Amino acid sequence: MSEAKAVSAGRPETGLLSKFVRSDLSRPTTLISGILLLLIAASATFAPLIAPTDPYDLATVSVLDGRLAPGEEMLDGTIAWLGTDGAGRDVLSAIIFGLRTSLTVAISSALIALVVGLAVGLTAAFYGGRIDAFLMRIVDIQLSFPAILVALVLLALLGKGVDKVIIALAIVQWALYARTVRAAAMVERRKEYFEAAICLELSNARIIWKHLLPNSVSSLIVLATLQTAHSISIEATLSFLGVGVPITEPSLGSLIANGFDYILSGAYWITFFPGVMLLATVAAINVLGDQLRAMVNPRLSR
Amino acid sequence: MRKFIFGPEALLTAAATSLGILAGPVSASDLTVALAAEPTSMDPHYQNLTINNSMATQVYDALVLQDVNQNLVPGLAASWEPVDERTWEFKLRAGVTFHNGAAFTAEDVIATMQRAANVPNSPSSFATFIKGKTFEAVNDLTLRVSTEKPYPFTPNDMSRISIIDSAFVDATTEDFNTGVASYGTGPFTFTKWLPGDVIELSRNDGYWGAAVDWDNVVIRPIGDGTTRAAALIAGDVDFIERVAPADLPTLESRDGLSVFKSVSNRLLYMTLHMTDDPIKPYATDHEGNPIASPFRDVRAREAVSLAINRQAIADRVMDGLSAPAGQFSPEGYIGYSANLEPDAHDPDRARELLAEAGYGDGFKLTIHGPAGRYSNDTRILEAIAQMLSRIGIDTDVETMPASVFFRRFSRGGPGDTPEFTAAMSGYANGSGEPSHPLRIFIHTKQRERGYGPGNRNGYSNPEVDKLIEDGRSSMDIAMGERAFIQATEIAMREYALVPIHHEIATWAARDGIAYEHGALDSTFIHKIRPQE
Amino acid sequence: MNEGLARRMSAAGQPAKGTPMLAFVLRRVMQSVVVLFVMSLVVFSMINLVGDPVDMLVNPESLPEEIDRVRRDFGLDQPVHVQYWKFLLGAISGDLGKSFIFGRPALALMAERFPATLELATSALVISVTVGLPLGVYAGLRPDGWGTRIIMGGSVLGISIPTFWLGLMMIIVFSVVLGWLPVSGRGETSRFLGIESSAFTLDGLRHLVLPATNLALFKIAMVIRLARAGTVEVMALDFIRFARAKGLAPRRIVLAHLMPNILIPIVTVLGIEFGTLIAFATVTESIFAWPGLGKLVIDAIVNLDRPIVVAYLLFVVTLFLVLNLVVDIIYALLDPRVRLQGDET
Repeated sequence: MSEAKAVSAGRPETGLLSKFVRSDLSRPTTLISGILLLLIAASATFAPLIAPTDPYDLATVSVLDGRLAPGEEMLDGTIAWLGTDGAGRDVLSAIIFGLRTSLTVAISSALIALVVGLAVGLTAAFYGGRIDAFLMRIVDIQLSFPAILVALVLLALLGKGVDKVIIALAIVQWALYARTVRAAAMVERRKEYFEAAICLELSNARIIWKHLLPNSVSSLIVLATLQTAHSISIEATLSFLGVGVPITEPSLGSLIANGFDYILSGAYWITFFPGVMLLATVAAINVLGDQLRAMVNPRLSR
Repeated sequence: MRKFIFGPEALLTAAATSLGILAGPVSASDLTVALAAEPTSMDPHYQNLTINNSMATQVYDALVLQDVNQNLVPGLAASWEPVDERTWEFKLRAGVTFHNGAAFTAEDVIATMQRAANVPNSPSSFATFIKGKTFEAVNDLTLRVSTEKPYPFTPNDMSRISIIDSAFVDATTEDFNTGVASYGTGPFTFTKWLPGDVIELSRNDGYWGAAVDWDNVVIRPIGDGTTRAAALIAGDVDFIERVAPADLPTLESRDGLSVFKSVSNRLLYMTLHMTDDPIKPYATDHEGNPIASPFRDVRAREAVSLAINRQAIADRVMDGLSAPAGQFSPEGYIGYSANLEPDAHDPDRARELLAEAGYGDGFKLTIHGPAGRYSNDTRILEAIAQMLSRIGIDTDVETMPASVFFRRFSRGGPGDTPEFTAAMSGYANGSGEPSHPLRIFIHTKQRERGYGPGNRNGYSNPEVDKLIEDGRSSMDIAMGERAFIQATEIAMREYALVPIHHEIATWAARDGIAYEHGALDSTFIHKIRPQE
Repeated sequence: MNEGLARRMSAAGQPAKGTPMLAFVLRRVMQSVVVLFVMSLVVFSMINLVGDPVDMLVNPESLPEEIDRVRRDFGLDQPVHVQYWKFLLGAISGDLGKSFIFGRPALALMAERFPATLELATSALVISVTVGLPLGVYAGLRPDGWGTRIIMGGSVLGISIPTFWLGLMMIIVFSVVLGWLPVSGRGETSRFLGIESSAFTLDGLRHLVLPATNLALFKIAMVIRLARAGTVEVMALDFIRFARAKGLAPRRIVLAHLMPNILIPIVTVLGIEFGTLIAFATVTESIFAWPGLGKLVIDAIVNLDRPIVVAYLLFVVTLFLVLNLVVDIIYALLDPRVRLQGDET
C-alpha cells in the first residue's frame, strides 16, 4: 500500500534541499519529474487564470455542450481541446481545477497528519515506558488496517465534502508519521547528551524541540512527499467509489468516475485525460520521493 | 475531427463476443431473461418491494390483477362489487388449483391475509393493505371484505396480496425461498432460486388463464447495463430489461433484435419549500444570510418550472429516455388530466416572474437530491442548477447517498421537520390506486389520518384537501376519479410540486419475441411471448 | 519500502527476549479481543449516526404505524446502547445479526460471497509473486542494466497508477477494443478437490484474468522492489562471494543461496499484504462487478444495511489481527535476530 511506511530512522541531515538540487537534478527522470511537478503546481495554483473556462460557474456551463469530442467547439465559441464531460464542462478546465482540489486535499491532510503524528511520536519517544507502549500499540493497530478501507468507512459515515475527505485522510495517515518520528527520536534518546540534557533540567519542550525534532526532519520530508502521492491516489479512489468530493467541485478522481459511465459509448476522453494527469502527478511525486529517500538513507534503495 | 475512436456498435459487439462461450441455439420453448436486480426474497409477503412484487406475480395470483397500465382486471376473483357502503363482495374463480393440487377457496384468502399482515422481520410489510379490513367467507367461492368507513379502494388493495395455499399459513420466509412452501396458482411454478445467480421457473400446465408458451424460464440478475446488453447480443439471454441509454442506438439498429419502449409512471419532481417558517439555511441572500423561502410565492415556483429546460434534459442527459412531465401520471395512465401540459422552457418569462415576486436580483439556493437512486439523478440536478443559475438563482447542488438523503428529506430539520428548501426526488404509483399521489404528496400533512406523509414543502389548499377526501370516501369510483383529476389540476397549477419528467422504460429481445408493456417499468415474464 | 519489516522492527507487541512464546501469544490474543471490542463499539455507534435504514426499507406508501412496526422489529426504536448490548450478546454466541434487506444472517451472506473474494485475492497474490520475483531478482543481479531501468521505471508506474483507473483502461483495451476478455462478472465455476472456483473452467479463467491482474499490479511493483533490495543486500554478503569464488554456477547461487534468504521478508510482507488485497478488492470488485464481499459491503453501505456493514468490518478486523499474529509468530520462529531487535522499546 504505502511505499513510504518503511522510512525509518535517518541521520540528521543538513542542507537536504541543496544536496538534492546539486546531486540529483542531473538525472533525466528526476529532472523531468521536477519540471512536471512545478508545472502542475503552478497550474493548480493559478487555475482561474489558466483554465479556458470556469468549470464551477454553473451559469456558464451548459448541459447542451455535453460530451463534445476533443477539439469541438462549445456554444460560446470556446474550443474544448480535450472535449467536454456529461454536464458540458470543458475537460481541460475541469482537470486544471480538479488538480487544485486533489492537491489541496492531499497537502492539507498530510499537514494535519504530520502535526498530529509529530505530537504523538515525540511524546512517545520522550516519555518512553508505558506511555510509549500504549501510543505505539494504537499506532500499530491503526496501521494494520488498509488506509482505503478506513477512509471508505469514515466517509460513508461523515458524508461528502472536501473538508471531510481531508479529515478522513488525516486520520488514515497520522500513525505513519508518529511511528517515523518516534523511531528517529529514539535513536537520539539513547545518546549521552540526552541524559545530559535531562540532568541539566532543561525544559521538556526545549529538549523535544531542540534535540528530538530536528533529527526526524529528513525522514519526515521523505515520508510526507511519498504520502502526498499516496493520498492523491486514495482521494481519487474514494471519489471514484462515490464517497469523496461532491460532483460540482470535481477532483481528478471524481472526473474519472464521472466519465466511467460514458466509456462504453465511446466518450473515452472524460475519463482518459484526467486519468493521465493523475498518473503523471503521482508518478512525478513518487520519483522525486524515491530520490529523496535514496539520499536520506542510501542503503535502502540504492 | 472524428467523434469516436471506436463506434458504440463495434464496442458492444466486442463486449458481446468477449462474453465468451456463445450459447447454442436455444430450444424454442425455453426462455432466458436477464433482469437488472433480483428479489430480496421469494416469499411473496416478505417485503413490499417492486422487484419482489413483480416476481411474485409469476408464481402467485392475487384476487384482482393489474394490466400493464395498472387497470384492475379479474384474477382469482372473477368479479367484485360493493354490496353496501362499507362492504365489497368478491366472487372467486371456480376450479382453480394450487401448484400442489390443493383447491383454491375463500379459506385460502383468509389464511393468506393472516400471514401477509404478520411476516416476522418484514422490512416493509403488506399489513398496510390488510389492516382495518374484516374478511368473511360467505361460502367457498364468495368472500366479503368490510371496512369501518366507506372505502372504494379495497379491490386495489387486494391486487397487492399474493394468495397462498392455506396449508402454508405458518410457513417461514426461508420455506418460500427454498421452495418448500412456494405453491401458488400463477402461470409459472417455482423451481429454484440461487441468490445472486439464478431463478428458475417452469410452466404451470394447469393455469386457469392462458398458459404461457415457455416450458422453462431462467432468470439471471445482471446488474451492469452494458453487460446485460452484451449478453443479449451474444445470445446468452433472450430478453433483457433496462437497456442503458448509451447502448440503445446499438440495439435498435442491430438486425435480429427488437427494442420495446414506453413512458413509465416513474416521475422525477422538485419540491420547493413554501411556508414562512422555519427559515432554512439553503436559501440565502447574496451575502449568505438565510432568508425566508422565496417559494412561498407561487410566481417564484413557476419561475423555477419555466427555467427548467425539460427537453434539453431529455435529449442531453437522458439520451432520449425521458418524457417531459406536467403532472403525476403519464398519458394513458390512471389519473391523467388532458388539461395539464409540461411547462415549456421560457427563461425570459422566468426572470420576469422572479422580479414580480420581489427577487429581481436573484438569491442563492442549494438544491438537494439523492445520488444513484434514479436514472442519472446527479446529472439532472446539475443540469437544473445550471438552468436556475441562468435566471439569476445562484444555485449549488448537494447530493448524498439515498439512505442519508431520505432521512434528511423527510425529517432532517429542527423538530424532525423536512430539512431542504428545494429537493429533487422520484415517485411511481405502485398500487395503481388513483388517489395515491394526492394523498401522499398533495394533501395537507395530517400524520394521524395518514394524509400527506410525503408532503414535505407545506403545501396546503383546503379545496384540494376536500376533493381528495370526498373522492376517497365515495363508493362511486367514476365520481372519485373526476374529483382526483380536478384536485391534480389545481395543485399542479399552484406548483405544489414541479414535475420534471417521466422516465422511459426499455426492454430488448431477440427477434421472434414480443413483449406487452405499459406504464410499469418492472418486467413481467408471463407477458413475454413468442411472436407469431 | 519494506513496510512489513519496518513494522516488525518497531512493533511494541514483539515477543521480547526470553519471553515464552505461549505467554506472548496469549497476551496478543487478549489484546486482539480488546481491539475487537473497541472497534465494534466505535463502528456500531458511528454507523448509528448515519441515515435511517427504515427510510430505505419501507415503501413510501406505508402508514406511520407500519413504519413504527419496522422500527420495532429491527430494534431500531431502542437506545443505541441497548441495541449494542443485544448485538454484543449475539456476537458472543456467533450471531452478528440479520441483514435488514435480505432477512438472512449477516454471517451466512458473507460466507456465500467470501469464496469469490478469496479466489480473486489469491489469484492476485500468485500473479504478483510469479511476475514480481523474477523481475526483482534480475534487477538486483544487474543493477545497471537497461532491463533493470525499464523494470524499475515500470515499478514506479505500478505504484503510481490508481488501481481503479487502470481497471477502467484494462476494460477498454482488452474487452472493448480487442474483445479478448469479458467485461464483468465471475463466469462459470466448477468444483475441484472440493473447492468451488472459477479457476477450473475456461470461462471462469477468462473472467478472472482482468480483475486479478488489476488487483495484483500494485503488489507486483512491491514484490519487485522487495526482491531487488533483498538481492542487492544478500549478494554483497560474504557467503555469496565465497560461493562465487568457489566457482558455483550462477543459477545454483541464485536458487540455493539467494532465494532462501530473500524469501523470508517477501513472504512475511505478502502475508500481511493479503489482508490489504482483500480490502482493495472492494475497488476491483466494483469495477468488474465481481460478486464478492466487497460488492456486498459497498451495496450495504449504500442501502444502510447496518448489520452487514458491522459484520464485514469486524470480519476484516479479525482477519488482520490473526494475520498479524501469525506473521509475528512465524517471523519470531524463523529469525531469532528479530527477537533481539524487537526489544528496542
